[in-house]
Amino acid sequence: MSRGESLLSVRDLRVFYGAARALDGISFDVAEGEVVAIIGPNGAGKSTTLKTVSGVPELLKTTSGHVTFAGERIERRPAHRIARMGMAHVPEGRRVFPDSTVEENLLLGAHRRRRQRAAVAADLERVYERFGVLRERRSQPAGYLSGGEQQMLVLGRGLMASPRFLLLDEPSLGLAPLLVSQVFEIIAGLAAEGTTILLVEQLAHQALRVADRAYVLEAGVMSGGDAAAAVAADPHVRAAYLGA
Amino acid sequence: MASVEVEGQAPGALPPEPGAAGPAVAPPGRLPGGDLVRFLPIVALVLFVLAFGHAESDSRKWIDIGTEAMYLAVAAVGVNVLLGYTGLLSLGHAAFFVAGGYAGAILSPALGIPPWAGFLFAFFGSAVLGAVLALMCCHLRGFYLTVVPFGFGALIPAIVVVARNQLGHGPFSLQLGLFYVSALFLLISLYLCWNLVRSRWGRAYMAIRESEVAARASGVNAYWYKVSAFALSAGFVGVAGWLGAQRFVLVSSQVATPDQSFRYVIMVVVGGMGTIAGPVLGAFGFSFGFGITWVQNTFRDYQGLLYGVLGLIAISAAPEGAVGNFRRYLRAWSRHRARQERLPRPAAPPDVPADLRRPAVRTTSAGNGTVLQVRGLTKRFGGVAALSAVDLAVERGTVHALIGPNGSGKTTFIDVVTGIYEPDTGRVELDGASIEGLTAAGRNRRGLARTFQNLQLWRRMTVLENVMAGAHSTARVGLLRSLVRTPASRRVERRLQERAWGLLHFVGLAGRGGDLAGTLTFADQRRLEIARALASDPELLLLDEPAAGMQLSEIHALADLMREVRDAGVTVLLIEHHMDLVMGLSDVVSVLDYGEKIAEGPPEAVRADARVVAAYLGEETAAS
Repeated sequence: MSRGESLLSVRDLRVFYGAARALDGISFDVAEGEVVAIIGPNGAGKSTTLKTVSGVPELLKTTSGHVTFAGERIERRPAHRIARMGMAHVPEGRRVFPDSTVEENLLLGAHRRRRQRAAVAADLERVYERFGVLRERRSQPAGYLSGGEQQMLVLGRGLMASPRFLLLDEPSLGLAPLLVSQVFEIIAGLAAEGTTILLVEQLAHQALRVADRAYVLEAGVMSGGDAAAAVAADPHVRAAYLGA
Repeated sequence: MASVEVEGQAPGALPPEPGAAGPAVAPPGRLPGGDLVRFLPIVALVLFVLAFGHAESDSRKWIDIGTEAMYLAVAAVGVNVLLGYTGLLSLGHAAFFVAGGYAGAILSPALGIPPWAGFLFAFFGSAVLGAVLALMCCHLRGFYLTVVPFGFGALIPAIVVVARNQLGHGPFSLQLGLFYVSALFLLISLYLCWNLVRSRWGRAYMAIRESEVAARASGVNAYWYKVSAFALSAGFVGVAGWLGAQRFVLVSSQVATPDQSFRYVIMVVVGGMGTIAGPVLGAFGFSFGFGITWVQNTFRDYQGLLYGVLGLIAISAAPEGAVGNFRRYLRAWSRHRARQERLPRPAAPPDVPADLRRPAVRTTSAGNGTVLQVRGLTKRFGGVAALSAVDLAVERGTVHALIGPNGSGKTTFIDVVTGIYEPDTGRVELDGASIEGLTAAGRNRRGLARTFQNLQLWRRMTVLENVMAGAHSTARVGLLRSLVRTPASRRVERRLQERAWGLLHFVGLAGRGGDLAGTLTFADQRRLEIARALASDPELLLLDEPAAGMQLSEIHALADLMREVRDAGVTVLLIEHHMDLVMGLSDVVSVLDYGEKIAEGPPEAVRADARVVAAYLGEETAAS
């Protein structure tokens, strides 16, 4: 696969929550068409990185540094304008609209594509193919879904935006082993179709299998940026995250 | 992440007063400046009252306004108990103002009660009235719960008009005297409220506000606690009404309009809901503000409009109210200090005896046998059977895993067993006795404790308070004792606090006891849920995906933790998708698929079961 220009470039990003330092000057790049994984312990700042890139507003947060997406500086831009540029963020924590049906939830993911009705319908069909249980429950309120099913719904909603750049925060959280394998197959499939993906995941071995490159984020400091296979071979990573 | 954050205190999460709890159990992360700072607002209030009374003693107008400010503040403190701490909105509280005035100033003299004792009549009369009203509406939610008191508020003035006969003269003919008496009652109200929020009751109220389902699962009978909050709140407003009646030397139904109830709410919201000082600031701001001659002349006919507009502006500009905003500035200041690396290190968490650091079982039932016996459990949601005829037996002292595909009914099983849902059919027995008909709170008292898959922490309470409130059912302290903080209630407080610190040590969160629970990372929030569940010293601990979002090393630590829980005698029912954890830890594994049990047995046998592999594990996981 050919690697294009750097689609996302983060330089010297610092984030504070109140007095607590979450990110201490991290820099990384994601090239067009690439799958990049960020691995690291809880509380290292992985979710903070994704939220800062996609512009999610948070209380008491102060940032400094540059974030460039598709050639434009976006670190001061609100989330909805960043989303309009083709970035979709699938957050941790299963935020569904509980009183809307499963299908309405999915269609909300595509609400910026109102004019492309045929394409949206085709994408909806593909989400249903990938997650059969969502088709079974398409007309039920999303609040009735189990935790794992809600996780599938949130993922499906992210895919409905047909994004150029997809941020995935713990996509496997709370999924049964069989579904975890499926989710990583879906990620690989999206990558093969040319979607650029930035992935945060606790299941490090799965993440490193699907990623082209990987970074290790520990206590707000980022290292690595090597090919995923090289990161997976690193003794420290093997001991800390792969259980080898 | 090392915690260097001096988090703003949770609403009402003020550190204990010195002497109330030994210095050994003072939480870390208190405000810079130490203990004295916390008493400054009270000292300032007392000085203000004395100075104002002295300076304006000749001004009938200003003494009158000052009196109004004092008793409106008492009313606002009462409304805050309900709105700020318990999270319930009532738009009928002005009715209790009238009721208190009527009971205290008219009924009491008529019954031969000395005038000065009228406040007792006002307090208890309004509280009983509030309780009656709450009994009618506390099972309702949101909008409906707000509307019933609204209707009630409209009813009371009509009753007063009918009952209006002779007016009793107040005991305080001197304006200045009434001013000081009102100030005294305000101080007493603040003292009681201050005690309340640092007691078992106050924590239960806040827990209901933050997550009612978690409060119920932790042994709080939400309905009765809401009723008590309603009654207490009405009592405070009743006392305010009694003071108001002395001022006007009459009880007027005019002040019980919905408009007036709305003003109480606005005062609390503008001042800061769920804070001690907020309602006082709000009441003072409005009373003194409207006392200024220019304001009076300009807005005489537009008071309601002014309240509405100010309320709107305040809510949109500072949703946490004036006091909440002040806390924000305090946090910003500490952030600034941290940048300069000058922040004091948070105090080390207190040490507690080793036996308090371990899980324990409260009831010492016979050593062996079946803890949980479930027969033929069925639960349908609409047309979908989440559980169909499930039988399950959990043996004492084991770790019993419940696995299955997403949506197979695992969480529903826990919800039905812990009393969140009623089953359609089936029996649930704990220690051989049926627990049918028990509420979630009742089942917690009988020895069931749980965690939640979609974290249900009380986010705006501190980590320590979460665990202390989790121990709700292990203590018995009445509301009145909590309000006046009797020695017995202090002892209970100290015991709960020590136990909570011990359990925080156990799960590795002792360093974060003073932080708000909502600021923890996902994995730490899961650990906190475990500590909170253990705080009730349960016989059976039901864990819903405790390892979700944890990385490998954390999962290993969690496995060790759960072995210690089991070794302490607590039986564990575990829902989990991490197979290393399930296979390495469980004595028995049961598998659900589409609400039916498809397999059960020791881990190796279940792992090799063809149906389990096909429905759940997949070839890859089964092989690894």
